[in-house]
Amino acid sequence: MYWVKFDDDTQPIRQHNDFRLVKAAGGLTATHPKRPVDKRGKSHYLLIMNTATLKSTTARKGISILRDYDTAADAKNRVSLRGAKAKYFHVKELSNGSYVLEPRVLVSPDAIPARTLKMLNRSVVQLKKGKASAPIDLSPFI
Amino acid sequence: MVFKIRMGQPEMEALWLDLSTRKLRGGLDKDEEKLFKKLVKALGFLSSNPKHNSLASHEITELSRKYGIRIFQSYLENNTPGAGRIFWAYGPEQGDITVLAIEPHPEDKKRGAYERIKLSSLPPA
Repeated sequence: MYWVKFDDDTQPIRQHNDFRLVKAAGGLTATHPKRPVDKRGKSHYLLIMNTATLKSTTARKGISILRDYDTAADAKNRVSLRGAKAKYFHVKELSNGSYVLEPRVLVSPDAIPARTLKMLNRSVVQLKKGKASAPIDLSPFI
Repeated sequence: MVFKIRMGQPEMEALWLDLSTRKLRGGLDKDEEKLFKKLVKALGFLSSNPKHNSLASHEITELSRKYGIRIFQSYLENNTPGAGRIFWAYGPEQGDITVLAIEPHPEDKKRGAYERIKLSSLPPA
């Protein structure tokens, strides 16, 4: 990265890579030889306003091998996982004889089943329209 | 204050009509009979006092946010881990309560727990 400053007003004030910051009627404008600038104000490149998306500060961690061991299936074809951090797994048996285990978690008991949620959706839509059944009479059943 | 209990349309209304009609005819099976008894009892409490201790009524804020009206949940049973529950809201008129949905038999660990296992988030690649 480098900057070049020109003292002459007619010359670019700053140059950054291929961008050139020049004085224009509306203020400072950055020009680029390969990127046309819309002079009607709809599009522009301003070096002093960084519009590029910032890179995430948290670096993504790759999957690394924590443990590497050989194991044997027992008489009932069971294999033990050493120090497994999850209780439930989804197992995929691949055609090349490999197995892939993905950790899974149980749904919260407070979760509402899809069927109940569908019923709720429809009822709320009707209720918002002011529609509901006639008041029910519980007296014959109490 | 006694609230008028209404049923949400169309499922809850149909369910209530079906259960109540068959109850009067004596056509409910054992499980339906149990459910109907609990439902009538809960609706009775709901009508007289929506915040009755037996109902353990509480607002489900996620649903309230989603639908834009306050949605409450009440239990059909007391001191039962897998208790059925009803979802209700105030309205459409003043002094009305509309039962929006019912979940008679929530799935617990014993019933269909493995079908409800969901994929957890894997570490980012």
